[in-house]
Amino acid sequence: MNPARDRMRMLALVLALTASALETPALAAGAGREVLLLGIAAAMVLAILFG
Amino acid sequence: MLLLWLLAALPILLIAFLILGLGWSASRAGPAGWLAAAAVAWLGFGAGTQVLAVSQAKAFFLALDVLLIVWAAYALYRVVDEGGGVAALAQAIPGLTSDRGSQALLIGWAFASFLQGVGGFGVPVVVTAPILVGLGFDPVTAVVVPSLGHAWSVTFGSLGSSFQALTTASGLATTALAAPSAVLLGLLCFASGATALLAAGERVRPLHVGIMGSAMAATQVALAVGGVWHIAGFGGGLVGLAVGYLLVRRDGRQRSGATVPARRLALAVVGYLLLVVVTFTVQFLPPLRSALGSVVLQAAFPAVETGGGFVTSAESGKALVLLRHAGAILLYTSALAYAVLRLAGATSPGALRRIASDTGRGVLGSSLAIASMTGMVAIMSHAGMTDVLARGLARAAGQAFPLMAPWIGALGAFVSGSNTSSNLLFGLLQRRTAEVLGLAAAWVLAGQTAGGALGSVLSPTKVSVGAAAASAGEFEGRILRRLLRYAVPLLLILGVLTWLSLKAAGG
Repeated sequence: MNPARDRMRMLALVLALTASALETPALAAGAGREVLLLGIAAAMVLAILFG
Repeated sequence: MLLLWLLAALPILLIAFLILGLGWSASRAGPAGWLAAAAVAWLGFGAGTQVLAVSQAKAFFLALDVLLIVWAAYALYRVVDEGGGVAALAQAIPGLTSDRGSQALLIGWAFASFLQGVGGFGVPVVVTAPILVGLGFDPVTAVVVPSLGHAWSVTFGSLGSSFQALTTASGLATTALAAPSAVLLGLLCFASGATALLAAGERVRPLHVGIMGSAMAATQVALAVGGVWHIAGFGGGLVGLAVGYLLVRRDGRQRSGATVPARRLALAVVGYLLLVVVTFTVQFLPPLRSALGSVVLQAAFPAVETGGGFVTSAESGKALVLLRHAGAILLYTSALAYAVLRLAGATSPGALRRIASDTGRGVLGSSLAIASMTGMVAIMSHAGMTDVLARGLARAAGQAFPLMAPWIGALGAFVSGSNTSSNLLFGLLQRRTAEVLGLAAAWVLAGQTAGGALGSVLSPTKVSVGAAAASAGEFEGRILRRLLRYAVPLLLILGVLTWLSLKAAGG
């Protein structure tokens, strides 16, 4: 059990889920989808580093 | 063409290599697969940001659909465990019989299946292997027996999370998938009992296996087809325990030893009894069912097209009926069970905090794997990669494809350590391949999940966890070899059963 590692994994999960959840309003608004995709990609990199 | 197929398969091959070759966990390999899928989709299949964004927006709803159950199922297991329920059952059941074969059936088959139904996450082997060691089984056998014994219960176990993943990933309705999956897994149930006995060094007992297997398989089929699939594995295991108890009582070979007070046993099962009550109340009380159906999370998505011309039509995403979701039902049950245990004085100070933090930690790894793999599969589907894979598989295997379906499921579960992950990875691929070949997709998907259930107990992660619980860490290779001795013939049989079922269904 490593609390620091768990916090980073939690951050990765929250970031991935939040960014993908926000894609729906971003698609409707026609803006921001690229930033959100980068957010999901960043979450995946975090998960690889700390997963 | 082969190059394009290999390119489309790259994310899956990468995950397999990272887990099997480099020993990565699924929670790290899944995100690597996501990045590979995004890169291949963008560079190789011409999927622009609109395609990727739509795929990830849809993937959120799909991931949430599975995660709600995984989180709530773990929370309920922790509530019961915190009240001493699992320990009480583990103490009471070994006292029921001194006969080795009956111990294998009752503990390695029925009790392990019950634990899979309510918990999963490796719990069945972790709890039962030490009990079997204590009863005189050698450590390798103590891991092999419950691993085989609970395999049939994996899909509808963990309160239905793997089955939820199958329906979510494939897009087929639960009503279409429940019967074929439950029937094929029901047949596997008899094999689980018979192989548990053989692995224990006993002869197959047709009467015991027949009676207990019929009770467990029929209960699972009835509950799954009846629409309460999230308690189908749990119900099957519970009925198996009850029938097994009556059978060993009839045999009259009880062990002497400490007994567990009736009050403690009642508290041990109160959470699961509440689950049955809550489930049936929500399912069969129309006014309540209607009231809980008022909050629906759903969105409409536009059509998208890749640079290569692959079109995904405009569609409504997955509808999540939040307050009536299986995850919500499990949460209501967890809260009620906690209240009862607390009123009965069965919880210790700080229990709620421990349950919350253990649940958070316990589901973190699987949540990352599920979220990343769901996103990856959505990318592959929207980029046309799944279509390329399905057409290639259909061309290579032809009408013999149903024979392969369980092996694909088993491979996914062996690699990822999870029937849920395997169903997420291959559910849509199996469906598309079946459709290209003109086969009934529901039976092919039943083969997928039955193979995945069996493959999950062979996975290096589960074998390691089981071996550690039985203090047999140095025997992991022997455990896997003994499991394979039974699993390979069973997978061949599952392939034939899938093929025969399709013939019988006229598909």
